[in-house]
Amino acid sequence: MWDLTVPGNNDHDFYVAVAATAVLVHNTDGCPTVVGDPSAIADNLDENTYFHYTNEEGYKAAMNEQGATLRANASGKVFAIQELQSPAEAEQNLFIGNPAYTGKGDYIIGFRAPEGADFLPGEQPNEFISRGTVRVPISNILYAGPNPFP
Amino acid sequence: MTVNMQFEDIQELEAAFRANVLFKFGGSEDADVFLGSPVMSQALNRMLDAIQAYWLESGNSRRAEGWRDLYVLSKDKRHVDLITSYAPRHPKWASMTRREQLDWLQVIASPYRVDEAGAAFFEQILAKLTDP
Repeated sequence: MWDLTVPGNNDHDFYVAVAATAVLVHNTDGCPTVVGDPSAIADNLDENTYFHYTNEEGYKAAMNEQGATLRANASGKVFAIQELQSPAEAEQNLFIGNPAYTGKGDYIIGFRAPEGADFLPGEQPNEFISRGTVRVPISNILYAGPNPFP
Repeated sequence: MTVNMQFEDIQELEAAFRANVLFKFGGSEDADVFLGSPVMSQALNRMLDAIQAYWLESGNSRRAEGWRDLYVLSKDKRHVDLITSYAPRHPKWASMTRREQLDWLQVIASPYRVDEAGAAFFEQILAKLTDP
């Protein structure tokens, strides 16, 4: 259990040490927790790096003290891609402009696939699908929070 | 930028079109994002237009009319429940004008198209959504 209470002076941002990585945690009421530094993403990309795009509601539901729980949809699938996209690009490319999916590009969870997770190619280049819920330990998360890409 | 492609014969296009329609209205989770996609809607409309154009140019206007008449929502009410339940998922549904709501319903319903009877039929759907 992590105690994320910030003592005094109304601070919202602070750093905690997780393994060897400094992780920024933003933890105010009504404001989803942010993990990692978005500016470091580009330097940490490899073939095992994936990005899951979601909206604020989905993000809040996924994030927890242990990391992220990417719940499978009704078809038993978790979707991820290996591209960084802006919210607008994600809405157009991944959610094909469907207004019912507005906001689904607003948050990203960038992570290295945990052991046991098997992301197989989907129906378009760079799209990957894992069968069943994926639990990503916080040590595997490169960045999780609002989509920082313009 | 437009994209051009050719099918070897009309059966290939018709098969792809029918499969897309079956998928779109199949009610699966995988189809959900496509159901309300304007991109998917436009693609299906173009495929149906191309099928009709082929049969007209082939001198088989009866076949062309068969395709045209088949994809009219007021004549095929199988998908009404799906369309009705999906429509309010538009984030601006409650504040949309009636015209905007009709346009959104057309996106969901495509390639089923709206003739005069269909427009009235849509009004019934809207009334049902407004006052269930």
